[in-house]
Amino acid sequence: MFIRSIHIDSFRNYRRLDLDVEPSINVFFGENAQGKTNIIEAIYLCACARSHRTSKDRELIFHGENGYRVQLDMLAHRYRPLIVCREDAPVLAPTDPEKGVISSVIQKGDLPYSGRKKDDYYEESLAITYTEAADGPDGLRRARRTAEHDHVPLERISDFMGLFHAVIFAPEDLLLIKEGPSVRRRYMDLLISQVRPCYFHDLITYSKLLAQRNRTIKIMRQKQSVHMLSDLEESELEIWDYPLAQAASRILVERILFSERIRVLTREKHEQISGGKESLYTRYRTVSGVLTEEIQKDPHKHLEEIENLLISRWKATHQDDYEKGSTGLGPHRDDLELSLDGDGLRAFASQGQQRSAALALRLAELSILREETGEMPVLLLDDVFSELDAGRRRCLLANMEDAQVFVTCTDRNFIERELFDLADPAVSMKSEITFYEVTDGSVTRR
Amino acid sequence: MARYSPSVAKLISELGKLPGIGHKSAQRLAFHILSLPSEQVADLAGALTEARESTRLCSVCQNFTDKDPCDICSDTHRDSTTICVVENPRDVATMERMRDYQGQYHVLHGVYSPMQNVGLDQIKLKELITRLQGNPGVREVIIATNQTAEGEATAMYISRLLKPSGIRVTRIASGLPMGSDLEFADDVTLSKAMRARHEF
Repeated sequence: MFIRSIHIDSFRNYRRLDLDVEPSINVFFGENAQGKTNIIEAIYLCACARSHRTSKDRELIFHGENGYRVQLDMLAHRYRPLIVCREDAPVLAPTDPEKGVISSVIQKGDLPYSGRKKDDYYEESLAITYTEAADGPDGLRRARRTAEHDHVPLERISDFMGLFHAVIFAPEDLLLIKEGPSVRRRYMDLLISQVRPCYFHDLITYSKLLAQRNRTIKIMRQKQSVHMLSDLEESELEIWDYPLAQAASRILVERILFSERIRVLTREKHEQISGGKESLYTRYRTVSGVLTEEIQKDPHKHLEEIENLLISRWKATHQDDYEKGSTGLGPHRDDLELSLDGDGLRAFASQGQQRSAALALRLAELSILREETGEMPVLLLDDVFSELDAGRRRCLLANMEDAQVFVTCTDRNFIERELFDLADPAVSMKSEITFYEVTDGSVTRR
Repeated sequence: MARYSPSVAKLISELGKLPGIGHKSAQRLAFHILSLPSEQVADLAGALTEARESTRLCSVCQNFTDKDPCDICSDTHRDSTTICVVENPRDVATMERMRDYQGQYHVLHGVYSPMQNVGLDQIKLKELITRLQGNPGVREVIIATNQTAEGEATAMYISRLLKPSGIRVTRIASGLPMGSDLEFADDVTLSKAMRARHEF
């Protein structure tokens, strides 16, 4: 899937932007604070229906306006194959959709169809619109966020997930290592939601039920000073335990399955980056402690068992939760643990080691999205070249393959040299790079 | 709202409080009402007060009714061994529309949702239990609360409450709408339909 043009209305520092982009490498250069990252952010918004920088839509609106709109027009494949590529299978990545040229060699039998021609593409359009709450002459209007697919508003944002995939590499990636578990849960949740729409639904259900359960605890605490729970109160909490466990067990199954793939891929990618000197290990850790080895091996088969284990764990901790004021166990507290040669990364690793690990996590995300969708996601590189050393840059470029890439940087010459020098000498990447200069909310092709 | 005289402004604001009526619709309705002959307005006002005053909750099923027990509960042709539990009176009307269900109803008037300040004692759950205790003839309770997180939670709770009684508790199926194409189904519905597939 390729973006053909970007249309932005009242978003960040762009009042209006209509920009045609190329299916290869697009480099946005310019001084700081001119709006380079905002373009990356707008594209990412259409992949995950939320910004990678903030959860507050209000911050995304052009100063003085009451809403924004981001629209991407693209060319998509007619087929959306389900898990087509193995790691070693050739990737389908046509370089020029107009002419229908297919760049990689496709081995027959590996794929359900033998090639893609011009007719295999169709135009697709995605948009996110946000309007702020307002108290106008028409009375009070609530804040509204709508997703559109081919100009038709979707009933639910969840229907939007999975239509378009992008992977972002940004300086903030370091937080994946440095911050607490919530950042890594978000990493997993965003990744899985993109390829498993039901997972997204389960997450929403889970968070609704969790809020209800916590509210129930709060009401109990307001009624009376802290005491031993009566049978009646216990059973009131239990009402939430059962449906929570249903959603939680499905969430856990997917997280276990994906964390296993993340484990294998991050180790492999990290070896590439570090030259095999160190080995990165990731592991999904539940605070509820329900994961036996047997369950981990084939979580789908143990769905019911996980559900029952969670119910009994929650039942056993009613008093605890009540005293602390909220639900202490569950997928909302779990973590994707990272360690380097046995040591925790957060505490022990150097800045450089943490950067390598973060890069490995993003590359794993890229591989999983490619495996799941059968096509290369769009890559967004936000000012990362200056932060990575030559070895890491090379590794990143090696993984880019024929993807459509959006790069931001301050120095045009530097990036030109980098992309040109590091690329495989057999393929001149220079000709495929398009430059755009960004100055104060306007973009010019150079 | 200085553009209107106080009485018109009050009418608009009262109409605007109704569900599904925004300010603009309220305005349109208000001016329509003002343009009607006064007898017709009196009829409308009368209908409003009369409906409110003569309507009570049926002591059996908790649905809105003019007489107690309601028409459905006092209909001897209906199957009194089956009770369908729904969230609100609207749902009874929906169920009746299909003319296929012969049993009785029980209206909860909401679902358990502490976030919306709806506690267990605010919904007609106790009434359901008392009703079942007084009617040992009931064989099946069909739970037809909405497919929301709270509707599902309430359904699961009722099923666990009734388990010891030996009454058969069922949940209505969810899945694809009839007569529509598969391609228009959303992913979650489709996946639920797949999970609940059955053998021919």
